[in-house]
Amino acid sequence: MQANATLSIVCCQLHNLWLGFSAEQISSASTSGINQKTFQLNQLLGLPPETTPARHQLSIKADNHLPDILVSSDIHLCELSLTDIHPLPPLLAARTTLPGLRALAWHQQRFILLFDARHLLAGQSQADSPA
Amino acid sequence: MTPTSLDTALEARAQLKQQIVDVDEPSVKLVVVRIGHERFAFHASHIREILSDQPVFTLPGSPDSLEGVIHVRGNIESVVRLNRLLQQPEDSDTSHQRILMGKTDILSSGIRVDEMIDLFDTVISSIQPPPATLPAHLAPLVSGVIAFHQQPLAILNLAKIFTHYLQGQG
Repeated sequence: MQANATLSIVCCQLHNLWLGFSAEQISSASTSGINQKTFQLNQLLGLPPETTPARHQLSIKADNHLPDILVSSDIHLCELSLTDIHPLPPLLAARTTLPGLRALAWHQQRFILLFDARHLLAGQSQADSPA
Repeated sequence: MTPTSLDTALEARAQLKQQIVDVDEPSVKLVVVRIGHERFAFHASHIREILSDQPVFTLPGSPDSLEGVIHVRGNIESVVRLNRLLQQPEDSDTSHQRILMGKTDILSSGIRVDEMIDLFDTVISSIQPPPATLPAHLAPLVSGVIAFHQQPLAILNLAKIFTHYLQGQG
């Protein structure tokens, strides 16, 4: 991969956090998904619920059928340069309880938490949807 | 007065020179900080930089001792608090707080300290091994002790602190 390469990220907000998923993992982002099995993003991360209802439904590309992720914020597509993307600091990687947190990005003077959507949903696909 | 021969004078001069050489014995630079109520030292060779007024981004899903991350000089680094590991209370007065950018062979991280006290050189021979009376929680983290203003000052082993933190302590 060339140094000037970019990574397309599907970004959303949860509370005051910016979160991102690699766009290659997302098959669709719609306001009315067809997948009946869904999880709120905050639930997947173990965070308090949002006060606003879900606006978008992210469908994940996977060989096995995965639930969709419900997001309460707007969805943005952004391009991160490789220099924007950083591995997790080792002490954070060792102690974080956020499932699927893979990296951090510093983009436009803010942090973006980059998640592996499949890992985030791992273990949830067999469970009944609480949403 | 005993007459001084030239040979005796030269010998005495040589000893003086030897004493001068002794001043050049190996030394280390120490960074003295306050964490909670206690003062501790780090080897300055493990402290890359001391930051003040650096905004820290808090992440959910982290222990209280992991304050967050900072973006500094193109890198993203964690910032940890060692109060729990060192069994020191949190200081409500944050006006003197700093972030030490610590670096060892295994990793780097910011370390929140309540106050930066001093930075000084000392000869290695002045550093004593950790005493047997050291509290049990400090014993594995301290590499030596030195007198600082007539008080014992524990020198922390940053590599061991990071290792303990990686293992879930603190």
